[in-house]
Amino acid sequence: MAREARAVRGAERVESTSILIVEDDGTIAGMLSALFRRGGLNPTTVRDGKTALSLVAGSEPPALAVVDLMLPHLDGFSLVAAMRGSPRWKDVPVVMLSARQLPADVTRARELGVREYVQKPFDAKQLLATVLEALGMPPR
Amino acid sequence: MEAALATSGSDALVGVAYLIGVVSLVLTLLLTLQVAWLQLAARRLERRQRRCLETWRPILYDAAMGEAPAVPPLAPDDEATFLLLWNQLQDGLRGRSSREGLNRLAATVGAHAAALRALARKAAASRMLALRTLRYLGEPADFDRVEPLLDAPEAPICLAAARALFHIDRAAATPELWTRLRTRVDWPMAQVAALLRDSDLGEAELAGLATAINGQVHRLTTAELRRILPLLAIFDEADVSPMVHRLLAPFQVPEVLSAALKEARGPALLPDVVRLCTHPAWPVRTQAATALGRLGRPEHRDLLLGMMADPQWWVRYRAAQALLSGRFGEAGELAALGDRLSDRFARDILCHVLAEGRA
Repeated sequence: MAREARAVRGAERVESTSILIVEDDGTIAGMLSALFRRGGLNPTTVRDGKTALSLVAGSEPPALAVVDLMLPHLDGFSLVAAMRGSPRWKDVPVVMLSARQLPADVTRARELGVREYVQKPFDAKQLLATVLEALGMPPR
Repeated sequence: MEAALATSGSDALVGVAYLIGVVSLVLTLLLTLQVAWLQLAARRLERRQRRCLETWRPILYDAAMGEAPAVPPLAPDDEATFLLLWNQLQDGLRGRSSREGLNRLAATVGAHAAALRALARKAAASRMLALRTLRYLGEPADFDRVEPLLDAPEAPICLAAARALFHIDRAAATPELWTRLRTRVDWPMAQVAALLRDSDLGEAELAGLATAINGQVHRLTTAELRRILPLLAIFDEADVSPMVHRLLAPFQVPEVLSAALKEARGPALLPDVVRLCTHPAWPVRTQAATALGRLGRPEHRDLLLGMMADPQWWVRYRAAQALLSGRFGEAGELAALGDRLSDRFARDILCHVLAEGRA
């Protein structure tokens, strides 16, 4: 009985776990959204850095953000820096996606407290596992 | 009589003006109709594409997650949009289950036949899409279909064909590419190098290609050498050092020496680099200073200090950068050394590069 109750509570928590996806490529953004929905999460997608910045300024923080590095209007690093400067968003774990694998980018990501720096092309299952692990949830 | 003539003349003018007016009106109407028709066609195309995306995106996502979704027939008008989406996912995802899922879906909807139809079209965009698709499908039978496109007049088509060939059969594609590298001056070498780097060539294949280049190097013209030398960056130092050594020989022209110095990576080439630090051509001295920054030893510090007094600013600048590369002492020690330099240009350039480092 207690186990069932715990499972229901766990399911509720998973259902309500919101993920922010900031990705300008529509196909990849859709793929990420479908992937995270399959993982039981609740994704919201924005397609550029400026829109994401307006969310940082006026919305409730998500449980985790998946941010592409190369974004229109505002790059991923500037967005994460803005998140770190916001009292409500500063602790949001970030998984950064990038087609670039320059050591300087990886160092900058680390300095900004990015939890994982994932290179594109990425393995969908591995990315889901990374996100679930960052959220402290069991793998699916 | 004169009055009648004048009246008939003005009637003719009015008639011509009337005719021009009617023709203009008809042409304006036709143009308006055409614009309206084009707008309608664009809207129809947009609606069709949106419908296609709504239908196929979820199916492609399921396939990319390794599942086997229910698949409707692929309408001929939707083939291009489907192939575009399919390729975008192939580009963005890796992992065996994603690749297998997408390829299974491609087989179910007949994407291979659709790609071959696109390949037969004249439009470059269609052929590019077809080549991307054939690359990911990797059917060995497609090698002979794709190989003639290496000789297409458009460089992007050739390079897309080369990428497809390397994906289908790397070993067979390597000599095909090499035979064309000499003649196709329109192929951007940076893209060829990226292609080879992305092709995951094995050690043996890379060594084979390096041997092929090495065997031909003495037959290449200066222009060909300058174009091909940047490719050496993708090879192991051991595979290319003997070739670079030959290209750094004293009889070579400055253009070849400069290009070869950029590829000097092994310590075996250090004597060549040191010799070229005093070459009469300043672009060669500039590249030699940079190479010394990569390969030099502490005993070459005085050589670099001397180059910092060179009449050419670029030689002084690269020599100062090389000096501060970490191979010739600590920055603090070198800054103190700079204060004792008698040459004003050498002191200035060292201050400049030290300031750049602090910025």
